[in-house]
Amino acid sequence: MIDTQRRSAAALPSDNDTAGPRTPGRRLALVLAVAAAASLGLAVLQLTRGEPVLGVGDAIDVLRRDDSSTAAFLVRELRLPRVLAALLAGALLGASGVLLQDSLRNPLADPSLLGVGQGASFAMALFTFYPEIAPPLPRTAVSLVAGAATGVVVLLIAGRIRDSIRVILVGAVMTGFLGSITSLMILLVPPDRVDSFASYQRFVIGSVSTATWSTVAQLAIWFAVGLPFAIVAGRVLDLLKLGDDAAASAGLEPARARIALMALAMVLVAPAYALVGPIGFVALLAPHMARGALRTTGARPVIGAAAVLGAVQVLGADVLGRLLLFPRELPAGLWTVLIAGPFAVVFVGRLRAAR
Amino acid sequence: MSSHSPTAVRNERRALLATITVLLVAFGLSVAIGVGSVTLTPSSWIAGLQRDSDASNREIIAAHARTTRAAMAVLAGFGLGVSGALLQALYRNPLAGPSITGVSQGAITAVIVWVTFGPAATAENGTVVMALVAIVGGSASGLATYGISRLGGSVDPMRLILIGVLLGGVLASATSFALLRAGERAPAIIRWISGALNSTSWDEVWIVAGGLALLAPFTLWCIPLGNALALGDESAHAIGQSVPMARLAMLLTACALTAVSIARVGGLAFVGLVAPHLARPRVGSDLRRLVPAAGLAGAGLVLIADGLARNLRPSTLPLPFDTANNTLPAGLFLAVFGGLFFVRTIRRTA
Repeated sequence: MIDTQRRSAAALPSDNDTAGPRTPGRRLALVLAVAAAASLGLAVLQLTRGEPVLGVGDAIDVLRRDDSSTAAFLVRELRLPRVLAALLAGALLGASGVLLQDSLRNPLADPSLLGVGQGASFAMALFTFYPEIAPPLPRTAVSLVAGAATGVVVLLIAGRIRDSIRVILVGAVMTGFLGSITSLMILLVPPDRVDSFASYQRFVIGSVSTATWSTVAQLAIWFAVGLPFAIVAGRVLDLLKLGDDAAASAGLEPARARIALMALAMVLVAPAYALVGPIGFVALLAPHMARGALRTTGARPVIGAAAVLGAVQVLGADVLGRLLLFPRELPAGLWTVLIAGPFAVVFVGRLRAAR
Repeated sequence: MSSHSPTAVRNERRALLATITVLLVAFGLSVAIGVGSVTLTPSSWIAGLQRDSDASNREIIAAHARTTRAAMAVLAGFGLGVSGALLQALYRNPLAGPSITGVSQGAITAVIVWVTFGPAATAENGTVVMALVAIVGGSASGLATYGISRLGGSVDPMRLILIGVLLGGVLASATSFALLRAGERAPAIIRWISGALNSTSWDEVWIVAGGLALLAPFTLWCIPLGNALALGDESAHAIGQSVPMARLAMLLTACALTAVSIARVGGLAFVGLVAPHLARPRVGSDLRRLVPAAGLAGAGLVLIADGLARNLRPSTLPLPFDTANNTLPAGLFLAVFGGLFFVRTIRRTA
């Protein structure tokens, strides 16, 4: 078995209140500052690079006043919403990763491993290839519900949700199962609709390239609603980490609290997956980066730091995909293949086996 | 009981079981070959295979198409079943299988990347090249799983599986990227991933059969290694086995078996996982019996799945649209059955 409690036992919520030269509070400020600087740098790259290349001054210029030029349209309607959507989606993913990992006490919890991504892809396939049998609701709403429902079903089937391996194996099976149904939907697709395959595939990989201001607005609503709840829920997460008995004596019903936290995690991750596609392992990576940088596992600072680190990751992923093989553009999910995925694999390899 | 020793009774039972299993697979084969749009009797089958003048064209086509298809099902199922038995012994875990430990996904990703970006394979050596590419990909993925799992010190079987699952996820994303570049070939590639056995040629059957035959000595060599590992690392070491070398040998053999099996037919999910489970309660976990039994069980599974795929056509289903394809992939039925089976196994074990 993998030792899932190793990290959580180390730190208690009181860690972040003690004053000192290198307190978690100052570390958090440092992480936020570094992440803000990185985001700014990446945003400048994203706004100025591309076809045509703009100077930084020009980009700021067209942001400040709309002169109805091509450059203004490019920056204001294509590049800026893309930057904001990446940041918001990444923040949602990072925060949800902390909720999932802490409430399941499972350091490997990632929404894509729980089948959430495949659920969202399934809905996308339904709407792309078979609009006539899709429910009469917005595509993102159905993607969102399908993703969250898949995650819940995986947890229900696994039963013992604190057993990392069971949850991940059930998630893998569910992903394979839904994946073959989705493949079947593609195989049976009427020939005149095969052309939509590329846009479907782009979604499955995870891409912010088609983000518009409407995407940004939807993500912003979920962010504004979900993140405060997540930070408030941090106290509950910390209580749960003390063990179920201790949590119960503090007046908490552990089972109910876990369900509520999982539901909150789904509320955060499902919109991100529904709007920009299932970018895997960002939600797995961000909390670990945050815990490592803050040297604490206190949930509230970690949620904040994981959100900004997730935001930097997705923005970085999009910049990477855009510039790596320029002028050809790759979806942001490239990050999963090149960086976040290999990291996750090596991370599991380094986990100490407790026997 | 009184007249026989327990061992003799057990041997008798095993002989009976072996006979029944072989008969069942033979029955499955005859159904697979005989039943369809044209019914083939044994004599019309032979006439069709030999292209006799008294056989109708439809009989000739049906005899060849169904025989190659059934042969491919048996070969692929057998290879996957044996591979699964080796992997489960290696990981000492009943949940291991080629599709859970990243081996299948490695082979599949390698083939798709090759098809999309590599030089165009010619028709004659297509399957050979695919099999080699699949072996390289599957083994690389299997070895990566093994190597990374050693980062934390000893090889923990559970962690190996976790790494396999994660690596499988990363490789699946890589596959998606390749599909993005595949353009109009993408539906054909997805069909291959889903595991379809139709339009198998004799050449392909012989190539896969030859590949599996080449791997047979290695498999036989792995059987005592696996049995020694089953005693635990220390006991295996005491017998004189180098545990890491034994694991490596079994891993590479299992990877190659999986890769050869799926090189032509694509992803047949869960066969390697389920087949040993079907066999183990009947023959026990001694690999000398489990390996052939799991192979037969795998062959039976794929035959049944392909039988369903052959006879359940989308056009017979009440779908509100026209479909591009009129056949379902056998892998679909395996994914449904295997997924349910796997969930049941998880809920019982661990």
